Amino acid sequence: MNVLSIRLGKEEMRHIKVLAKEEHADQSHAARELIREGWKFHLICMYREGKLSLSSLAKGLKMPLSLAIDFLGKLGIQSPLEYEDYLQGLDLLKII
Amino acid sequence: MIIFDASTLILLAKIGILKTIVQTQKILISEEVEKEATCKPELFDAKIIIELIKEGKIEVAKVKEQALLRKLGEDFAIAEGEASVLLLARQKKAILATDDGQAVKACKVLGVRFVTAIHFLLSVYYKKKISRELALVKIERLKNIGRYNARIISDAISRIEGRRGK
Repeated sequence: MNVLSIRLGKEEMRHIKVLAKEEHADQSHAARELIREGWKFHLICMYREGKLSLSSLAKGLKMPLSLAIDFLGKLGIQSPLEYEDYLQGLDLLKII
Repeated sequence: MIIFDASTLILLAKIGILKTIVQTQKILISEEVEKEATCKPELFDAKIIIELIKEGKIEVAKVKEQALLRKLGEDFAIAEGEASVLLLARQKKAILATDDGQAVKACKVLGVRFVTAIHFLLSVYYKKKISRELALVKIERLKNIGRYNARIISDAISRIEGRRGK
């Protein structure tokens, strides 16, 4: 593991302490956990804003695509597909 | 022939209509999509996809133009799977089945025709392969896992209930 020395604000330190207490873990463990969860949240936001594809999101989350789809469903993250996209596809119904 | 990306393939397997679709449609995927859809073979949807590939009902193609694939990936912020099938659909002038927003954007730019999982559900219903009741149950499932916006779901339900034309 690498070592990184960073300055933290009062609020950030409080978050680490609260999580450490909740999980009966040490503060280093809690800090790493918060970074991992924060990274997941960042990726999901990128996906929701249409800056990341579904497969790229799954890769980033280190999850099979199928589980990433279920995960987004549980979180209630809406698909970026628009009504207009759906209407365009209806024209192809006779072919498919 | 319709080219599929992993998102639509998985969604259709999850709602249990992929086997119905392969009865009337030739499906083509790339090796990259196969890997994305079957990397955890113990999953229910992966098992169905693996079986259909073994039976030859889903064909798997190798995309040779790796440099072009990487370029597409970078240009549209999509992964290898999505880029590979986009390339195949463009080369074969075929329809791409995708439920990925980024891939849809790329389709619009590149002039590739596209459909999503919900279109296949409507199609199997119109072809009378499933009953109205079953179609409504499956649309409910698709609402949760496909995460379509409410307007899309509501329109599809009205079509199944016959309140809107085909």
